[in-house]
Amino acid sequence: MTMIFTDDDKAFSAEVRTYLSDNLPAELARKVRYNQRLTRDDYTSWQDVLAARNWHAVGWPASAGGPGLTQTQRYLFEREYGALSCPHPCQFGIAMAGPVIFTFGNDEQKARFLPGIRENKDFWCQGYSEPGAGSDLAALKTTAVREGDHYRVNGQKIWTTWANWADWMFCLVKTDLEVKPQRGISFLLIDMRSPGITVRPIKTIDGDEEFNEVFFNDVLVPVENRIGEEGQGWTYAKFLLEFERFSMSGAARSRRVLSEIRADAEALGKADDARVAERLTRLEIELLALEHMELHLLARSVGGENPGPEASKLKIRGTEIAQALSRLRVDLHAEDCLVHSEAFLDASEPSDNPSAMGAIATYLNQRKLTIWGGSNEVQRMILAKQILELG
Amino acid sequence: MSTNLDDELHMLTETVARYVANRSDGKANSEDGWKELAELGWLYLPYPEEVGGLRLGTAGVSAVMQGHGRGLLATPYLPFAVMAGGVLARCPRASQTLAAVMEGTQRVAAAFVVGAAPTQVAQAADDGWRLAGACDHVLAVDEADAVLALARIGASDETGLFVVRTDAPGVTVEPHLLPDGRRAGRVGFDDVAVAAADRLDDDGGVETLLREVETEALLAAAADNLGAMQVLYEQTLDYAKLRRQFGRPIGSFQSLQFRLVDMWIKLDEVRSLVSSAAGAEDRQEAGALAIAAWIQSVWSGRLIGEEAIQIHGAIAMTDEHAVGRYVKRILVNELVFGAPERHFSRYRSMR
Ligand SMILES: Cc1cc2nc3c(=O)[nH]c(=O)nc-3n(C[C@H](O)[C@H](O)[C@H](O)COP(=O)(O)OP(=O)(O)OC[C@H]3O[C@@H](n4cnc5c(N)ncnc54)[C@H](O)[C@@H]3O)c2cc1C
Repeated sequence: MTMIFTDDDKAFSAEVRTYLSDNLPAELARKVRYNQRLTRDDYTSWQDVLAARNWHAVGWPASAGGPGLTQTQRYLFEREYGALSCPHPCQFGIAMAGPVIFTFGNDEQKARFLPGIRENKDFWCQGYSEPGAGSDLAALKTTAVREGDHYRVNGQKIWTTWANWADWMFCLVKTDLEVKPQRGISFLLIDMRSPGITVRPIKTIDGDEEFNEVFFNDVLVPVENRIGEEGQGWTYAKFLLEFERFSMSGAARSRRVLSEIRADAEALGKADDARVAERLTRLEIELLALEHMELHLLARSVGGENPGPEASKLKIRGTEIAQALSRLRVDLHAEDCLVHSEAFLDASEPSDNPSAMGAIATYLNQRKLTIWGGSNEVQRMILAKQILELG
Repeated sequence: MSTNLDDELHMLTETVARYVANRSDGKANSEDGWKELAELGWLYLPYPEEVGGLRLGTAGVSAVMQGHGRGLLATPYLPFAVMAGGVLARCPRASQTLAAVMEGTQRVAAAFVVGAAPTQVAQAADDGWRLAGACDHVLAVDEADAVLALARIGASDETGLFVVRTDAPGVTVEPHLLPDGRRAGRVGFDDVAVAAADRLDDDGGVETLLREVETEALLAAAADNLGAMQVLYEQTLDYAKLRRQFGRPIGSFQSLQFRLVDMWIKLDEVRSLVSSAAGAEDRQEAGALAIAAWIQSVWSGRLIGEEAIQIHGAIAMTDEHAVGRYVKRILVNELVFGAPERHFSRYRSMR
């Protein structure tokens, strides 16, 4: 099945492109283009721009106050978005907390939480991983013990992206230690200002402060902040993982990065170097294959089919390609990447050679892509079991 | 190789291991480190006995460099002792400077890039030479008393070798951090007066000399990579045995087992080449093996580094974790000494 875009689709694309490019501040675009570190304000002020057009919660149905785009329009939105140097959206609220709340939450919860997410008022983080529970999420140990109207939460989360900036966390906790691990998990929304929460930032390999440790010491969480049934948290978490995978190809962004690298190669006079040309062409074709895998999946999806776990292939290839691109940028700029400047990475100092200056930090940072969101090993297991039916 | 030499090498290897174990993670400052290396006598290792060095030669250098990689030492043994010292040891006129370098009282940085043409120009003047130009990413130059610079002689395509004090008028040093925390800098020469006696070479012959020194430098860099990737491999193997997910050590999953085996093979390829290059009797063969060792160390280093991060998972994405520091070390080595493709033709010419 091939994907055919109608005139309306094309008009929608143009509308998105115009709005985004008209409103994307040049300075912010520059930071994104050169892989400099973004501040909380960089993210939120840009998300305000999106929210003003109700395109922050772009994937939400109209019933949840979203723009109610068709699947095709959502795809096109992502494509236009990735083509520009827009900050990667902070997805924890709009793509995770939101969808769980509007799918499984009660009316009160919807009224209480959805507007803050949609309008970019609240900053969210995801409290799943723990020191002993990474790929094996069901092994999590943070407990929530019911005491009347509250849960008393104790334990620790780790690798929590932007917990240091967040107002809210959606969190998986153990509410029943007796049953099979997956059945004793519940899904709580936790106010990050609650007494008993300590957040400790952890520096990443590239020197940024992206993730955190979060400690819970007798934190009281009102029972009304539990989503759905007690003990059903695992079901909601799994629903989200699939939601996540579909949007993880990053193909549009990779296409932009590829064209930036090609421009760099030209500026350096290396575009005709046989080895550079070969690698650029190879990556372009691999990217094209990814884009077309995605388009075919989209066509099936639009046709009413649920591709389910198959979307894992997009995560695997998308992340591998993004990593290969980050490596190519380093190879291309070679010794020009050798000057390390925190001031440049923090965008407090300019550089004559910005494309090279952020290359190593980006290469290192992009190693995360194959680890998070379900590691690529885990994605391969899913495909092996559920698509190839290998036991 | 005589047994005697083997014994000495064995002792050296053990001393290096002890030294590295006592120096915590390369954080010790490299100034102190230099004194320690001098006291240990390692600054004599790279040179033949005829010029006052020790006879352990490349094998000894290789042992010291593996220690540097393993301990992430920032002491500029490679650029100062192997590169600059290697040039000095081949220039009879430089015997005094070499003696001071071996004693550790003079530190000479290498203001040249392996495999690259000189970026300085020297013009003849009444009293000697005038040097102009700049060289980038000179390792540890901010710690050096002098630099060894290459320069094109006037408009010719001849190359000359010069020693220039870093405090000479017209010399500028702009230090910067490398992504792995070591230091380098740009050395600028603004019409710097150099005495005739500080040109080290007689006319001609510089190309051969440089090729030899560069070959030794590449082998030393391969040994540094080897030390670093050995740690990456060991730590990843240990972690795979320790880290449990799904009720089992992750090392019990076959897909990870195969990848650890591949890491082990990639490591062994480098170890084999480094050790054979250091032991080869035939000069030509030793040279080809040295270049091959460097190239393979970059290929293996990339794979081992990326796999080490992936198999560790998120914990290796932290700044605190050792894996990242080793990955950066290998990456910086590659960018300083040149990606494999840059050395293909050199390798072919030596085969
Ligand atoms: C930058 C970054 C940001 C993150 N942000 C968040 C966040 O905001 N919130 C949050 O909850 N989590 C976050 N995470 C955590 C992420 O979800 C976990 O890193 C991921 O689930 C993997 O867990 P782990 O790191 O503990 O690795 P482990 O699960 O210990 O895995 C180690 C290695 O073993 C492999 N492995 C595991 N099981 C198997 C198997 N059965 N077969 C084969 N191989 C296997 C893995 O693929 C990996 O290569 C983040 C991680 C990173 C790197």
